[in-house]
Amino acid sequence: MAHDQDQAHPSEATYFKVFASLMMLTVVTVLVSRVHLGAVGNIVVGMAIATVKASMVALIFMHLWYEVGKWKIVMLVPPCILFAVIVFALTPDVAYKPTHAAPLAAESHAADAGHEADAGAGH
Amino acid sequence: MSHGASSGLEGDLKMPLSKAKFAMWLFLATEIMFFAGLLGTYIVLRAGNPGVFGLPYTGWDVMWWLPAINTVVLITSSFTMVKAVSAVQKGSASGVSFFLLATALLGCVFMAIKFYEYGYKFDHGIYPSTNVFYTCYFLTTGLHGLHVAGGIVVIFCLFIKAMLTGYPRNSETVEIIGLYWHFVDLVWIYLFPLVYLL
Repeated sequence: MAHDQDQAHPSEATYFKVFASLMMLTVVTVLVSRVHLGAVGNIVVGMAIATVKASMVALIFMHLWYEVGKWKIVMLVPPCILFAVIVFALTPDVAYKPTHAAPLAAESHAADAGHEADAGAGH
Repeated sequence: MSHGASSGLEGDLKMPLSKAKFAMWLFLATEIMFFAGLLGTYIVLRAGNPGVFGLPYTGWDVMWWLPAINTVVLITSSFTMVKAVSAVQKGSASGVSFFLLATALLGCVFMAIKFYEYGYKFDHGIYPSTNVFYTCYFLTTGLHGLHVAGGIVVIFCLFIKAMLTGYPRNSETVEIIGLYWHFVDLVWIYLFPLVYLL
């Protein structure tokens, strides 16, 4: 096994540990979502746990950790950058533009409406 | 002009992985972009509509545990998939058949729960047109569900083939289909908290 890296695979015990960890983290995900950490806090913690789980699936179940060569970086990092860029490039414009937010603000809570009014006044 | 074997420009490329596996990873790279568009849209629209997203929804108190069960089902199916790959490497034909069937059936359980969940929402008058959250909700979970359905069909075909012929030890087919199945699981790992919990 050690002499041929291409054939190197995680052991059955490793698979089971990953499976058990994924189950535990699923329970943690549900429990943490019940704790109020603020709107942003809950999302950050939830996405962080999801990223840990996704990494375990990709690296162990999908053998990415054991694959040899730079192709995995060349092939997989750019689409992940695209994901981040879409979100970060569009959020300021689409999300915080008063013209987009105003019609929907009527359906939101008073606090949100106040926030929109402030944004409108500042504009 | 160098014609050394290391130039890698012609003839047999010195690939660190098989062409079939390389093709699957290339497909998965396009799938990342596919879901980047969907999840990116969800995140951006959510940031822009705090009054519509992230609120308690109709039937939330009854329905939150269904997607939680679905998460457990899909993670378990990923585990049975790696067991199927291990069975191929060990040359255990019965193991391959058993774990492929288990994976396909767990996928069916996922889809059954999904249909029940959609039906519950339709019964309560919730449709994609209800608001921008439900547009995103039905779009992302629906397209993810189609990926699961496609995976079930392919894995079931592999099961039939394993029943009829078994798999040689060096077969990569199960491993390559497994990559796809794990990716679908990976997407759900993000969808579950993003759409149902937060």
